[in-house]
Amino acid sequence: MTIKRALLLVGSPKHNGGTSKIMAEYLASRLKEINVEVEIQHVHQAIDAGKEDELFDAIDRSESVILLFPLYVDSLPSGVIRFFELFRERKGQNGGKGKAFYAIANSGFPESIQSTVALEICVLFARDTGFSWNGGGAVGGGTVLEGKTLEQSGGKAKNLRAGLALLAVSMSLGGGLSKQARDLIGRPMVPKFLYVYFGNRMWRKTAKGNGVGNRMYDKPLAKK
Amino acid sequence: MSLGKLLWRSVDDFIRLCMNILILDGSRQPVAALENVKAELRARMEGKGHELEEIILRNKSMNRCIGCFSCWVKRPGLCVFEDDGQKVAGCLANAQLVVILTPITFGGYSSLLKNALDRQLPVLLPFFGKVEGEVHHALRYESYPTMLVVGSIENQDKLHENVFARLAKRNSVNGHAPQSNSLVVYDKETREEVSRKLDLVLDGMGVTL
Repeated sequence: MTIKRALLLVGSPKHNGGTSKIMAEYLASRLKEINVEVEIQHVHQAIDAGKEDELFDAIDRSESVILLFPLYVDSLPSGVIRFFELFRERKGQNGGKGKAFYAIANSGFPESIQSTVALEICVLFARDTGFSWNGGGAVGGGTVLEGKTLEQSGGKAKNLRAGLALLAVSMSLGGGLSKQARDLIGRPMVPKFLYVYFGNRMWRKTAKGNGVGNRMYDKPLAKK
Repeated sequence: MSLGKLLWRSVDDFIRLCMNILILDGSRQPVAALENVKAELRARMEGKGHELEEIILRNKSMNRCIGCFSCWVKRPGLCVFEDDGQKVAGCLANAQLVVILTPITFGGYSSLLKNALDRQLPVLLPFFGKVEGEVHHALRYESYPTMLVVGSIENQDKLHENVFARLAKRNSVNGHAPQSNSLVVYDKETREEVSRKLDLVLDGMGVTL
């Protein structure tokens, strides 16, 4: 079975869509290459504008749905959870019947395993709303992309590109995310010690650039 | 021991046992089982000198975290949104015990509660450190509260409950909680049943109210 149309849901609350949008755009281009029509929707923009019906309509006209989201406090960002709640309230237990659901998490920590619980929440959402759960993957340390597209990110995004390309093929066939694709997506983009070292340096440099380098350890909320 | 020393030790013990306690209620409408938990907690705290802050999130106004990281690199320790999210962060930074209440939502927390937790980034530092072998953000404040996460669900559902317990555990690692536990209460449970469960879980955490 091949599908004609896929919906890519960007779950980042960042105004520019962050790493989730970068991955969605790459996945969209791979899907289009294999003749799958693609629609991209931003969950928070729709939910916060009270336009959740646009998301529901987009789901109705798609055969396959993938949610790409950043890890927020070990789970999904609140706006995505609100979307889950509203979908179940309005569309019921069979709202996703006959449609495939996938999810890709990305976190600011280097270990992709930290997103496991968030993906399990996606599994339960799919189960409780009638979607067919077709698999999920997790990217660790997505911030190393620094806002660049995956094509611009060269060697460090090589495995992620390969994993998303494999995922696109699986989605086009209505199939599950393969172990190979999941492993490629979850492979660290840089070694953990380098991520930690350069990450800490980047925070200091950015704060210094904003004139607050000497105030980073402030405790403004501590009771005197 | 002199009477003066004995008296001083008693006062010192009392002060140490008095806690700043924060209750965060993330239910969109009152849930009987969670109301029972709150009533039990209030009853146990009464007259013990604890300072209780109870925040019903459905009555609060809170922007979403937009992942701008201003709280780390522009206004260290403070969110750009000066709303009730900031108030929750202030309570959290000064609490010794936080009790989080939520209807279990796909194994996780309600969107209301999650919104409040997403806004707690300012209480941590951006710098990475290791906790239990994983990379996490370092502490901004000297200490962080013991954490009890209570979820309500209509009927027993092991799948939801297992995910919920793991999420609570992960949050306690991220939140540098010295002690933590989670508890699931069912809609039809009586206050007495809830009370017994609460006894066990508080005891397990070494918390005396």
